[in-house]
Amino acid sequence: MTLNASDKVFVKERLERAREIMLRYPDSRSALLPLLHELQDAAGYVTQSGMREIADLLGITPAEVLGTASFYTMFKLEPIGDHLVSVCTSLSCQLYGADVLYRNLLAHFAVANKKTTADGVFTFEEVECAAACGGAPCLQIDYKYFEFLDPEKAVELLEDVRNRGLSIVHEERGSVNAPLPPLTPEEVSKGPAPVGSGPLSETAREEGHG
Amino acid sequence: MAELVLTRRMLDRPHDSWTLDAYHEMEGYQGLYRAVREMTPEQVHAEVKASGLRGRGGAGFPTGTKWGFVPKDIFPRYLVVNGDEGEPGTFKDRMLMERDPHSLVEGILISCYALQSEHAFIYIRGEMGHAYERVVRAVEEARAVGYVGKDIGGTDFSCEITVHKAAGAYICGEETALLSSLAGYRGWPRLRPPFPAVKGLYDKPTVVNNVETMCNMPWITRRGGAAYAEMGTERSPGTRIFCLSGHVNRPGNYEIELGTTFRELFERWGQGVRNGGRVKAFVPGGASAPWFDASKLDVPLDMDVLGKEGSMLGSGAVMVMDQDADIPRAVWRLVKFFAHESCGQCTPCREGADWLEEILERMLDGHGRPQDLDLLFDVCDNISPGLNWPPAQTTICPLGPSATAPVWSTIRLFPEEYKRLVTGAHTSLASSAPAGAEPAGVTADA
Repeated sequence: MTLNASDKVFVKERLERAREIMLRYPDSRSALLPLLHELQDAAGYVTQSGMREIADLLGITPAEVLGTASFYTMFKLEPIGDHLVSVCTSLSCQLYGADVLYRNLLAHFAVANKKTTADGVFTFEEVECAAACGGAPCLQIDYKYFEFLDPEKAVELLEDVRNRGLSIVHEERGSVNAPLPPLTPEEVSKGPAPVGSGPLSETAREEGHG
Repeated sequence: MAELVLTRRMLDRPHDSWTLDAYHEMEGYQGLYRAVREMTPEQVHAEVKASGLRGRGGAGFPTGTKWGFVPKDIFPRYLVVNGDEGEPGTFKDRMLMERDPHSLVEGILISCYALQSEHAFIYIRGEMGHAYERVVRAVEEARAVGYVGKDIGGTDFSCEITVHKAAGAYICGEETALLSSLAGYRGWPRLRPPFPAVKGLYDKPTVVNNVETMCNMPWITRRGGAAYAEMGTERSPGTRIFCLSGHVNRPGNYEIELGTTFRELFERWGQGVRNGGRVKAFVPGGASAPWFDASKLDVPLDMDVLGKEGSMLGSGAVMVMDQDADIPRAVWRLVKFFAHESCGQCTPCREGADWLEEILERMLDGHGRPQDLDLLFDVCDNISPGLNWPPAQTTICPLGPSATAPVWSTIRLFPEEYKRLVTGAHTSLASSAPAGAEPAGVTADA
């Protein structure tokens, strides 16, 4: 991140954007979560000084900002690595070995849950259902989905991200919705097509999303 | 087979179903124009009532009836769309937002017209970055051509839509918690009454509806409520997206007519249990629902029938476990979820869910005691007295009772699996592989 922890976050374009967000709501306090997202996007985590800035913008106390931010799992109150790896171990993923997958990942990268690798690249967290149960087991890297993993694939995926960067790996291997097995004629006769999609790469390029 | 109401477009146009151009080519926004140009708000409301549509978020309350609770003469009033999908096993709203965001936007506009609301909010689960981007873009596209904003379709109906990104808290799927969160506070549920329809967002009348519920509105407005009511069963009309996961050959989201049986869902759509196995247990309607064993396979997917059978269709999440599944382990994982997601306001839920998790974890770790089953029942009973369905509640919201449902329902269905844990024949939680996984040969503890 280009910002230092003490730099002011809400200046120039970001301040304008913050004001625009506040105007979307009849009561500007509703902008608190969106502004915390802006802060985290800019500074890498929810900084103390940034929370003070938000308090000033919204006319509430810094304690109210922290008291709200600390309720939500996405807001990180301490610096994290370059990438956040969120591994779902909820039931549908557990049934396909997600807890073994996660233990294996942590062992491979010699790191504990909620901790960052020594090189600062990955912070790991175990998360509740990521809403990709049709592609279990799954994980998210910076909230981008990767599905149909197994312990070996997951390690290899993260090594790939470390070597080649997230955007290119996600374009090749990530997904929007669970890609499902292609329908054979026999399957077609048995039921309608399942709804899902192929890899993100088929669609992301056309619409310019990464 | 009924017509596909919700998934037709993404199946026909898998590569661009989310764009305005594609949506226009598939009858897009015709329902909106029909509503605002040819119908009164009361007529739109009447069609929704006639459709018999029931909310797709979990509770299954009739949508038209819910709309009727808004006081007639209080303005402004708000529509808030619940896109905070987080019930374990549920992944349909994410798909709708990613693949068919314009049907959501159109459904919202139609609903706002019927409710005479000029401002809607879409509260989207923060972890669903792609869904958020697609919905934001759809609203922008719709605004650019005049569907969102002032004087829609040349009429005097105006409507603004604000897309709101949440930040990670399952409890915000509960409507009063969602409204607290949307107002910029911790996602704490509050007691009802007053109900949000009377006193909701900013203390104004507010209707909270689920994403899938909204996506039905364009079809109902185009084709009429009576046509919708012809699909499904009398008390559970229409189609629904079921999120099928677990040990079936083909997990995925399937839109099917209500009234289909679980057996059909598993065999026709899911292509049967993996490796030719058999169903041992299944969760019929999300993590909060009491479980079923194979004796319930021929129960139809019908909200009222499920209620009579002692569970619920809930969020539409159906999770299947084969003969090798470790039931207490699976239950422990759901209880862990509820313990993590308890907002902490009510003691029975905050403390009880934690204790349920800890007791189950101790049992799975090989330290089960003979009195543990009674203890589990006792803790459950303190959260939800009587252990019945629908559950009694000692808490502000249903999360507490939900934490107990997997526990007591499976102890009753599979007592031998729990007794195994209290008589010494056990495996350690830390070192045992879950059913279906190859042991990875590592012992590092998560």
